[in-house]
Amino acid sequence: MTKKEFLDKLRLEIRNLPYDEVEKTITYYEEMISDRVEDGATEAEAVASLGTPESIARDLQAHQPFATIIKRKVEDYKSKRSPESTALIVVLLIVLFPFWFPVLMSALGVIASFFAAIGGVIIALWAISVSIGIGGIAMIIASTFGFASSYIPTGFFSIGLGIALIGLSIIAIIGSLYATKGIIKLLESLSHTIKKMFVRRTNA
Amino acid sequence: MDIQLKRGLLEVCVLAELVKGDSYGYQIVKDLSEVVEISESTLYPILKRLEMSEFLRVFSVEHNGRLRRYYRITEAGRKRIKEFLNEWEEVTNVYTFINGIHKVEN
Repeated sequence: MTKKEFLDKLRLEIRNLPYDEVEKTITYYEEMISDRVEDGATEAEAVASLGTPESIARDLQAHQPFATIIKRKVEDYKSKRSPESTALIVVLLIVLFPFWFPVLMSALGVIASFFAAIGGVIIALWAISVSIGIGGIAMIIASTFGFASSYIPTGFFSIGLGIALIGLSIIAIIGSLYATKGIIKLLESLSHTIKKMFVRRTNA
Repeated sequence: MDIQLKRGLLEVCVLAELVKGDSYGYQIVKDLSEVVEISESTLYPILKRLEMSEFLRVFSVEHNGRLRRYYRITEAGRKRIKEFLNEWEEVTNVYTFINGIHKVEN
């Protein structure tokens, strides 16, 4: 493949990326080929060492935001359909509404409850941690009543318990912080995996 | 090597390479190839991410009648290297731990 063939092919493969992204990518690969040629390689060798335009495009698309990928898929789909088949699809969608609507709703329900469950766990963790701390503060305040009414042992007991609870709460808050971070990371890698699935299918 | 791990390592490798001085894509690939497996296509997204995180700046220099893009490390980029080296101490500890158990078990 010549440099021009390679760059044209690459431009075609990534045509759905944002305009300046396309230009940047082409400039980059153009420079890489020129530098390799200057270093003594032939044009064909230089091009061959870069990998295929298809695989380069696939990698780049996997790094795009999820919204961009979906938009591109929808546009691809639209451009491939003729008006007649679009009309047919609309009719089918309306006729088959009683069938696909419950399925779609339950799918959305599953996704929503998944996020609600994760959110619930995080909120519960924080609520427990903070309420232990509040309990500790309350115990310390309560101890002053113990001292005031000369129940000295009760006062000391309350202070001790209060401090212990506050300590426990700090540990729990640190734990919650790590748990929250961990869950966010998990969700990120999950969304990345889903993105990759979409990209693979588009290019298959 | 695990892809996520390698990507993280390569980012710091590129920054370290730029500590030696400003450089351009092909030169970076050539220099780093002596240390780790890297290609132009792996480098591209890494450069993009480093630029977005403002760990490096890009500028063009004319060379043989065309423009070549050069990369220069920023203060934030230097800080990132330091952070990495600190993190790595922890990784070394984990490695020693895993390796110790592995040897005992086998």
